[in-house]
Amino acid sequence: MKISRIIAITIICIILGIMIAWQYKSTNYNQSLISFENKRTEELKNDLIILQKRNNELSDTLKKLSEDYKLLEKSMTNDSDLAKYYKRKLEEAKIFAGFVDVKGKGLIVTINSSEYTRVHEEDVLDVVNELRSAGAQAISVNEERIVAMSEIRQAGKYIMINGRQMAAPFEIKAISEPGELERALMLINGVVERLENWQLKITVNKVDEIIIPAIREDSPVIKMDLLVPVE
Amino acid sequence: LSLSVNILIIHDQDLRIILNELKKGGAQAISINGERIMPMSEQVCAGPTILINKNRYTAPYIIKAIGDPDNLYKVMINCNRLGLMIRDKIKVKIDKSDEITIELFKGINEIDKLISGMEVLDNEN
Repeated sequence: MKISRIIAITIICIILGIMIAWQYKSTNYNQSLISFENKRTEELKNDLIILQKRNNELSDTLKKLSEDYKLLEKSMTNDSDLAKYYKRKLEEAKIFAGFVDVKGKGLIVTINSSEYTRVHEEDVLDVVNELRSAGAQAISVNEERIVAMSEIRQAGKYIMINGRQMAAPFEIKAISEPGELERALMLINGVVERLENWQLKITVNKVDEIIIPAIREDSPVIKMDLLVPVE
Repeated sequence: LSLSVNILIIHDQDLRIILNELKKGGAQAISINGERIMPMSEQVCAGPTILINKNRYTAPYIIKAIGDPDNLYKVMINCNRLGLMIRDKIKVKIDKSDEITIELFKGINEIDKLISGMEVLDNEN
């Protein structure tokens, strides 16, 4: 009699426990549903907009990538197109880096020392920099093409550029829109005036066609043994 | 070798002279604040900032150069202008390092614009 009672109570307890757990779980679930429903429509709209934007972005990327793919596929069937493309790029890079002779309209600046002052490296450096900032596309000093690593070094009475020694007068040639270059140099208190104040003789001539030579092939400025490309 | 220069006014000419010194010391690639120095890279003063490759930069200027570190270091230590800058309380730090990365020229895709006014004279290739 006692044992059967204990068994009955145990069973009832187990059933009750299961029911409570069930109830608890379903309430939780309902609550999350309700919170979702309660989220304001505006927030949902925002979410939607963000997702739509992202979608647009992705479809743009897709478009771009498929265009690239098409181009590549086309060039694969047509090797010469690709070769032509790379050849053009190479040509551009060579012009830009100073490995070919170029001609165009531009400016010739001559600086000469007077009996009072000698031309210093800073003078040449300033003129070259001014020409660069005015948009010069190629510059040479006494037929030495100025490239990225060209140094302008004072060596006593002389100045060394690209490892070659030269003396005044310095003839600086620059290719670009001549008017623009001239205006940049001729500014009040600009480079030309400053150098004139130092008693240097400086002349500026606009020329319709100047020829700027390529960098010498044996020039010490073309060195890249220490450079390793980074992928 | 990397070099960082700080505060007070740093003139465009200071940078120009330092770059020129580095080039004398046999640098093979140089950048200032991530702006690769190309053949036609200018350094121009624009108020408290300096324009490099037509982009504007303020101090500190971090100049990175690849070359023989000892040689470049020597050149920098012996650079008069740098000495003057230190005298004027400009903070200058020179570090040798075994590996530095110098950034690609940002205008790489616009080279055609930068050479628009020129014709190739003779192309032996």
